[in-house]
Amino acid sequence: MHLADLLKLSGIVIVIIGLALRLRTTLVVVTAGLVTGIAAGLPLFSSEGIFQALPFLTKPGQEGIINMLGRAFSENRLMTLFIITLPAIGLAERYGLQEQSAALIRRFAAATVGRLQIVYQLFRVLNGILGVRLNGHPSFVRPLIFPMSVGAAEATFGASSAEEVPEDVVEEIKAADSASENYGNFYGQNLSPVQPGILLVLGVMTGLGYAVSVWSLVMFAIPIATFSVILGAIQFWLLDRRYRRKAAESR
Amino acid sequence: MMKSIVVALLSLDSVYVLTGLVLWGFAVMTFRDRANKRRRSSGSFWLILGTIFVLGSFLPYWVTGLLVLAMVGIDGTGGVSRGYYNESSKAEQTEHARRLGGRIFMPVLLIPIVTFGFALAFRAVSWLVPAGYLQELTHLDATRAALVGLGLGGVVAMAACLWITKDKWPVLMQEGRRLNDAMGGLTFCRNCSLHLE
Repeated sequence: MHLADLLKLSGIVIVIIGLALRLRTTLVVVTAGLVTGIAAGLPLFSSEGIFQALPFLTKPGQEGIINMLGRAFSENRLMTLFIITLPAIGLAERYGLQEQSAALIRRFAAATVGRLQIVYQLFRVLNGILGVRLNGHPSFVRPLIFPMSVGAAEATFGASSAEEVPEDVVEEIKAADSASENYGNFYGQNLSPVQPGILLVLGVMTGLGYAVSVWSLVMFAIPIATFSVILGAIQFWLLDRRYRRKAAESR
Repeated sequence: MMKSIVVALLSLDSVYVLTGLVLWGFAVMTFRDRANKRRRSSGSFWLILGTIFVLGSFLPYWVTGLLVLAMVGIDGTGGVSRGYYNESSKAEQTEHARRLGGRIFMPVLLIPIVTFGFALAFRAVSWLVPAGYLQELTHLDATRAALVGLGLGGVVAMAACLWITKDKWPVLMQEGRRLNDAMGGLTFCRNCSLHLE
């Protein structure tokens, strides 16, 4: 291997060292991207506008690293669009949203943290079958499912308010809520033939010369989605069991 | 004329601009927040992110790229920090909860309802009109339509929340900033990921 080829791999070293030193992920990843790009001989800027024919900084016909970064960020704005929902959710929280969600769930004696996750995951799979994408984290998980889960935990731990639920449990609930959202959304979306995931697989498979239809792809996605629901249910059932024991110990 | 205004309002760009304006609001409030030890750098971070949201579709990519590098620099050196949000006490929240009851769910439920409704309406209309017509007119597909729905849902929810709580819009923004700052610079990690398509 030539030295120049090895240099291109320096980004991986930067990522490992940077994350080991616990530097900010974004800083590490972007630095690694810049270094890799420069090592691979990519120009910093595209050769256009004021940068035209600037030596060292540009190369004719190649997209610059900075341009790439700007384009990707601009196109990915949709990932951060949920910011627009924060004021309403924040104000609703000020006026007792979490209390009401917890109160609602306490009315169901059968509700536990784990069972709530199982139901929510099924709900997201159902959304997938209907072919509707919902941006579940901002619109459901944070404002509704999370406070409901904490409310269910209050019942398990015999706590009279959300503050009395152990802090590590609250953190685990956040993870469990996000997990059920991700499992349900990720596997559920392949159950509808119009979703981008299925269309991407269709495009790749047809490109490779396989004769497939969207419906045959959906058929093969059914057992995978079923497994994901079963495994999710086992994980959340184990979580419930652990909380029951923990609650019994602390009494 | 009327048609093009409606199309423009229902585009992804208008939702980006609205989000950017909200971020600019957070930036101004952060600059004035003396409880935030890094208020200047924190405020600049949200100002830049807001600028990318408002102008991202018009700026040359290299400008956006440099702005992103500036944000990475601020966030990477711990420049994004939290301040004071005049938070309500648990007792106040319980008192409000008793007074407003289940009505407080309404604005929050409006977010998924509008998102869902807009996405379904988009799908229904695209079945009724000739294939490709709606896509050509609005530059939206089913995924993007749901995102426009999310943006509209956020705005509708803000209005509904103000109406139900009878509180003022600065409080609304303050509460939004509280949640936004809780996530801090993490928010934009997701934006830096390059999609493999």
